[in-house]
Formats: sequence, structure tokens, C-alpha cells
Amino acid sequence: MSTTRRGVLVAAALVALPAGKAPADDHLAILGRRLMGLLDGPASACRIASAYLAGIGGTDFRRVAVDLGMPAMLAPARGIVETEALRTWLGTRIRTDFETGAVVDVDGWRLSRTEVGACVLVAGVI
Amino acid sequence: MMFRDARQLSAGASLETDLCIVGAGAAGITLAWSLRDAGFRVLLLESGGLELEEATQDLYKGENRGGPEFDLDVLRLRFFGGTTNHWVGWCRPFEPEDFKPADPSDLRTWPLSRADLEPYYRRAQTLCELGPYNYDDLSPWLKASGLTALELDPRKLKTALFQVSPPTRFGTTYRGALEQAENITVYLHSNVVEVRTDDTARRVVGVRARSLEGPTFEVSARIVVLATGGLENARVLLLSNQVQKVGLGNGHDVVGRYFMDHPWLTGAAFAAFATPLPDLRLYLDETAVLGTSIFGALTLGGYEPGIGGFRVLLRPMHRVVEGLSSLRAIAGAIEGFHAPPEGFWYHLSRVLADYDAVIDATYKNVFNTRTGPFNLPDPNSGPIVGAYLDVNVEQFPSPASRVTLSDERDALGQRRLVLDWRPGVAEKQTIQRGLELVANEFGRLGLGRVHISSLPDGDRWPATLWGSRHLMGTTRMSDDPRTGVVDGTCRVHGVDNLYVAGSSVFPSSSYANPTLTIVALALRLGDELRRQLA
Repeated sequence: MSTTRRGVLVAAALVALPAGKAPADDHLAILGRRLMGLLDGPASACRIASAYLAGIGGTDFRRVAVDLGMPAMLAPARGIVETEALRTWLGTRIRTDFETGAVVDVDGWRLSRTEVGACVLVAGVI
Repeated sequence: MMFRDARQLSAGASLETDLCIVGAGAAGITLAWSLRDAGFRVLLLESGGLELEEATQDLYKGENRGGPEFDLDVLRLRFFGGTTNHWVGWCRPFEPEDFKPADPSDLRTWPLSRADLEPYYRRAQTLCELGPYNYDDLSPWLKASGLTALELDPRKLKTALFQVSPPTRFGTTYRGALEQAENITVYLHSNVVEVRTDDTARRVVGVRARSLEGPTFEVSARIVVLATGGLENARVLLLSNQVQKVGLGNGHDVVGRYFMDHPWLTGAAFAAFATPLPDLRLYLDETAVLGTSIFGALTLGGYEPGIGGFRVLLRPMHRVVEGLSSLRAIAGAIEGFHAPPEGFWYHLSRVLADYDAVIDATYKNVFNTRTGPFNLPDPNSGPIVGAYLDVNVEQFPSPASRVTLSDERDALGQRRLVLDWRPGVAEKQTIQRGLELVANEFGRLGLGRVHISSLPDGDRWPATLWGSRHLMGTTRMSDDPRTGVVDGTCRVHGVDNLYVAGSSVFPSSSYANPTLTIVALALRLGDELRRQLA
């Protein structure tokens, strides 16, 4: 196989990664970075994440994110490319959480499961 | 008929009437007013005079053993007009489910329905000088006022509209009508010390009354109505024990039991609002519209087993000063002899972080001045950034929550009252669930996020718990004499011609203020007595 042809095949494999062929850890990191891009400042997200972990006795941000069901919850967001569209999708998701009672307690604050999971994801990639 | 003063009667005087009403508060005055053209004689006895008198007010002193501090001689007023002389005027009818809970065996069940009381609520609306009788359809109110209601999920929460009476001082407002009524005589300074019966205690013959500085006299009547208030009605029955030694109408030990108030927790939660904030004026303040004032509270939308009624009021915060709220938490904890749930160090760190704002507010409070040492802006100015959530809940009836008689005696030689108020687990569950529903709806609507303060376990309550001074249930209504003192007509079980009026007959407390229902029931009783005495 020629170098050029190999390079094309490797490039095609890399492009195929966001479509779901990469390991789950990388997906979490990708999601975390995309969510961080929505925030004015990630520090408050980290505080929320830390408070949540302290409340449940957890130490591993990534593990907690998985426990919160974040990969499945945020899977539909992987197809959303535009930042504002992702922001809108996330807002709708959060409102749905409150409607269905998918909420968690963080230091007395009643927060959406998705928003807490998003904060935990962001904290995990910082 | 003029108002008369019982102090001028001669000792051993004997008065005769058809209907004797004991007590001239909202219930007694409403009942008398409704019968002013009835064609039979009405005698209205009032313990006090036309103004507050210390010696008479002292008769209300008693002991408080349960719940938060209740000053029995402060929360009730003992002169013509009764406690309407200091009520704030909030009005709303009880909900239909307050009369008929989902479970028919529920102790909160009334022997009448909301529909039965509806015509009397409409009449009570006028007596309390309110606006149009409409509490369910918000549209006309919103249209006339320009206010907006939240688009709540009706399965979870709804907006409960309250109307605000001027407030009507019943003694002042209806005194003229009573004076002009030819069939009504009012005796002031008349303290009923005993309801007298025949030897069987099945029939009342009248009452014995005394003035503090004057004579003892007798009133004979065909029918007697006790309208002395949510606590005092029970006291009079318990004291009337010459024939029935356990107290009149107390054959099943129900008199005095099932006392209810509305547990009221201020600052139970805090809402941090998102921006831009929608129009929340309906919930944040009273608004004058259509001849009255209104405000909205958040209340339960759909039925949930084990959860009672509640109302959540929003108290706006214009500037978030965490240190001030923590200072309050520390002060409240010290007052209640327990640590705040989050621990002292948490709050102390927040106080230190907002040192200048705390000092500024303290300085202004101590020296009663608007300007503080740091010249910070008035915390009540500027945009609203959040709100404290004050929650007020229905109390489930419990026989352990009660009034009894103490061994201490008042100036008339009568045993004083002991109040043992027992708000419990059911009320805590209602508070918690109510705040959760509000937090979820605020999140769904994008209003912001809510912080809910944790409640202590067991029987302990935070220092911020108040009683609402809505005294209910001590001579409760039930078809069954084993669970009630009066029947559906407010007649005392087992006594042919003795009735009770007022909030003591409530078998459930709702979340709504009691006065409109007190007046409605008194009007209904008036119709019943017209039939009896016609």
C-alpha cells in the first residue's frame, strides 16, 4: 500500500471517530470540552461538581459522570455541531429534567441531573 | 337597641331572650347581624368593652406547652369586634378537597361540602368588604391589573389568589347596624362563666355571666351559641361541668382536642432568579384592582397522598447578601438552642466574607438610621435578584394537639387554658414536598434555582417556625360524636339547643386563612337558627 493511500485511510478513520467508533472515555472528554465552551467561566461548574462529589462521597469526576448516566443522556448532543444549537438543546434537556423530576440535591440546591452531570464532565476535563 | 353595660346590672339580675350569642368577634357579630330582622330576640354578650382593657385582656392569659411560643393574651383580642381588631385581612375560601379529601375515612372530612357553603361564601365576601367573588379564574384579575401569572403545570402547582380585606374591623363596621336592630341587645363586660343545663345535660337553659367589677347575672335562652373563638369555645365547654363533669358535650373526650394552626416557616427556601426575570408582581406584593387588593401564592395543584395543602409566598430580595442571611441563621440557631444544619463555621465564613454589608445593616438597625458607616445602597432598592420562600401549611388533625385547663385561675376564678400545639411529621413532609414542587417548576420555567433548607429530624423544628395564629379545630365538626363535638349544623352532639360558631368547629385547616370561612359558617348557622326559632 502506498504512503498516500495509507494516509487517506488513517485520515478517514480519524474523521469517523466522532460517529461513535472511539472509546467511551474520549467521548466524555470531547463532550466535556464542548460543554466548557458554553460556560462564561468553568470555575462555578467546578464548584458545583466538587460540591456534588462531596455530597455523595465520590472522588472520580469521570466515574461520577458515568454513574449519572451522562454518556447516554448526552449522546443525542454529539450530532449537534453549532454551539448555540447545543446550548438550546442543553437548556431544553435541563427543563425536561425538572419536569420529570430528574433532579439532584447539591448542598441544598435543587439542580437538574443533566446540568450537574455537565458540570462534572467539565470538571473532569479541566 | 343601645349597647348596655352589664356592670350596671344589679346582682342576681335575670335576663331572658330567645337566642343568646356568647362572644362578639367575627362569628358572633356576623350571626347577630344576619338575624337583625329575624322577629325573635337576640342577646349578644361580649366579655370586653368597646376598646381594649388590660384587666379583661388578662383573662386570655394561659400556658403554652407545645410548638413555638404562643402568647395567648397577645394573639387574641377580648373586646367588641374580637380578633378582627388586629387581623390583616387575607381572604380565600377553602378548597373543595379541604371539605372532602380523597379518602372518605380521612379525619379532615367535613359533614358538608364546599358547594353547600358556596352561597354563604358569596355573602361573606361582602361582609369582609372584598372584591368580586372569583378566586378560580385569574383572567379578569390579570386583565384588569396588567399582572402576569406563571404558566404552572396544574398537576403540580397552581396560583392561589388571595383577596385582602381593608381589613374589616367587625366591631366598628357593624356596630351601627346592631344598635339600630330592634330585636338585638348587646351587653358589654359580660363574661360567661358557665353554660347552664337541665339535670340531664341534654338541654341548655341559659348562661351564667359575671362582670369583672360587677355582678353575676343569669340569662335564660331557648338557644345558646358559643362564639368566643378557636380556643375559648373549648374552654367554656370544659368549664361548664356542673352536670356533665368532663365538660359539656365532652362525653367522648373530644372537646379541646385536634387543635390546628398553620405552621409557618419563614425563609424555608431561597430562589436565585435567572435573568431576564419575568413579571412576578402578582406573587411579590399586593396589587389594588377591582375594588380590592390581591396577591398570588403557589399551592398544590394535584392530589398527593399524605401531602396536605400549602402556600408558598415569595419575599423579594433586591441584593444578595449571603452574610446577612447567614447572620440570621446563626442568630436563629442560638435562639433555638441548636446549631444551624450547615454548621456554624459555614455561616461564620459567609458573615466574614460579607463583613462590610453585615456591619452596615447591623449599624442601621441598632441606630435606626438609613445611612450606615459604609454608605452602602439600600438593600431594598435595585433589581430583584431572588426571593425567600415562606411556606405556610395545612395541619393534619391530631388528638394530641390540644387545649386543656390548667390549675391556675383568672380574676373570675376560672381555670386558665393550656395550649399544647403539636405540628408533626406530616406537616414537615408537606413543607418539603411543597418546596420541591416549587423548585422543580422554577427550573422547568427557567426562573432560576432554589435552595431548600434542611429540616431537623423528629419533633424538632427550626427557630424560624411560627404559628399563624389561626386557631382551629377544638370543637370540631363531625357526623360521629366520637370524632366531633358538633354536627353538620354546628349543634353540640347530645345537647339539643347548644351551637358553636367560629373556627373551633373546623375539622380541617386548609392552607387558606380562616376568617372568610368563619363568616360563611356563621351566616349558614344564622339560616339554621331562623328555621329553629321561627
